[in-house]
Amino acid sequence: MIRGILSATTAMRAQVLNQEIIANNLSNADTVAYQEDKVTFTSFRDVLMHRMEFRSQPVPVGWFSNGTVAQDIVTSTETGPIQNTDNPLDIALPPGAYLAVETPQGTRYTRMGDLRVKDGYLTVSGYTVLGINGPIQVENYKTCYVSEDGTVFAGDDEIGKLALYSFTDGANLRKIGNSLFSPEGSGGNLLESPSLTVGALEGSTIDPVYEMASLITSLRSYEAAQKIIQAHDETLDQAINRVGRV
Amino acid sequence: MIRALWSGATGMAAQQFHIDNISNNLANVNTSGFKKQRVQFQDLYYQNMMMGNGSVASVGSGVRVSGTDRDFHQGPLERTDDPLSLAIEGQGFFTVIGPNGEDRYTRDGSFRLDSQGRLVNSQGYEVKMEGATSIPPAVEDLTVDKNGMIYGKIGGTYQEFGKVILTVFPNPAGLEGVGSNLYRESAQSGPAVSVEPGLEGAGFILSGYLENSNVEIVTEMVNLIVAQRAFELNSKSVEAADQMWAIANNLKR
Repeated sequence: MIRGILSATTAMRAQVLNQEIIANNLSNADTVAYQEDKVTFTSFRDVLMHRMEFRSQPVPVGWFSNGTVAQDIVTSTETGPIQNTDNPLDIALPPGAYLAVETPQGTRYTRMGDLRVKDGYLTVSGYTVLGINGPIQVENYKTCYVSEDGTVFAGDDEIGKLALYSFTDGANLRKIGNSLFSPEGSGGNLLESPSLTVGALEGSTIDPVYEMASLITSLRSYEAAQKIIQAHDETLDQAINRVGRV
Repeated sequence: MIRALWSGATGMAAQQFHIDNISNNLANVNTSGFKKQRVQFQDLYYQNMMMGNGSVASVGSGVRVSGTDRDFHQGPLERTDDPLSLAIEGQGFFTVIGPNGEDRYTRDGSFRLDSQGRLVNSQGYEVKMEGATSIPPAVEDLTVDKNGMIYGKIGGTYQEFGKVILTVFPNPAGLEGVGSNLYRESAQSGPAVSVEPGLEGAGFILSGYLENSNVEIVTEMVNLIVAQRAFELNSKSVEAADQMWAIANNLKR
């Protein structure tokens, strides 16, 4: 009986997490190159149940699981819609490619492509972009632009080349906020001949229809779990207060 | 639950800011020299959580506005027939001497002469020129050539009255807008560099034209739809979180 309440409680807790993930996805519906998160659930490890017999070995009755638990949060590696901006420093990265940036915590990766000149260096959202030969310095004023193979020009001069990295397994990257990813384990593999879309930015990968459907499913699963707890509660009420009453 | 509520709230706040910005762009659709702004978003911090399989996963906590970006694309040129209406075909800015003698920069070239024969902008701030001399009221056939030189006929002979100079910045997108179509140099924009028209990408000067706002109504309207729907979407996640909370509270009847 109590087991049933606990199982339903795990379901409610799991749906709270699901709801948090969906809310975060929805709030980033307009964030450049945001990649949606999905949470996967799994049942608790099955346990073998035994019936206790008087003066004999317990008799196995079968396998039983005690509810659900969030297994992992998976970040989508899909590409968002490409939005034209006509800005020569806006780039949309090829699928699965990341720019390396310098942060106070070390090298981090991002799919944001709105490159800007800040304090004499090429940056993306305030972080210095690491090109093939380190930071790309933009000295005197000249119109900066990026070619489709990632070469950065200032006027007619070539001032550097963007370095794009891919990761063999998307799970090697963890989100840390500010549209940055932190590498877990080995770093990325440098892409040999990348091809960028110039003058455009990648939108968020959020699919509003899917997210709304998930929101409803999650809400109703939560509600269903609540009903199960209430049903158990009523049964317990019967057992405690009614059974044995004359 | 609380996290979902707050994530939804950050989304609504960010989209509110987005709509504010679009409204400002649309309000300035006819402002000479206006440059539209774009809002940038970033996801907020991620909190680590232990997952069922023992791994660590991160749960996000919403979105924030990371900044606004000014788009310095050339706006369309509009003919005015006034020789002192100047437009720049390039990346440069006019420099005016603003309050307290500080330099201010503008793309709005609707200039006129003041009582002392100086070239001033619509607020009366003097336009920075090279070798400026007072332009008498009796002047005829006033013209400005593409290099910024002002000519006029006095008593039958042509005379030069000085040359309008332009300013370029390493990163114009970093300029700080101070209203009235004026910008101020900032750490982001880098130091101002005075150049002659036509050099360093500053562009030549066109007399008799004004640069109109570079706001495109269609783009802004589409952005407005996106922002409004995104706002609505976030209100749904707030609503759902609220309902779930109510369900939890109703566990005990």
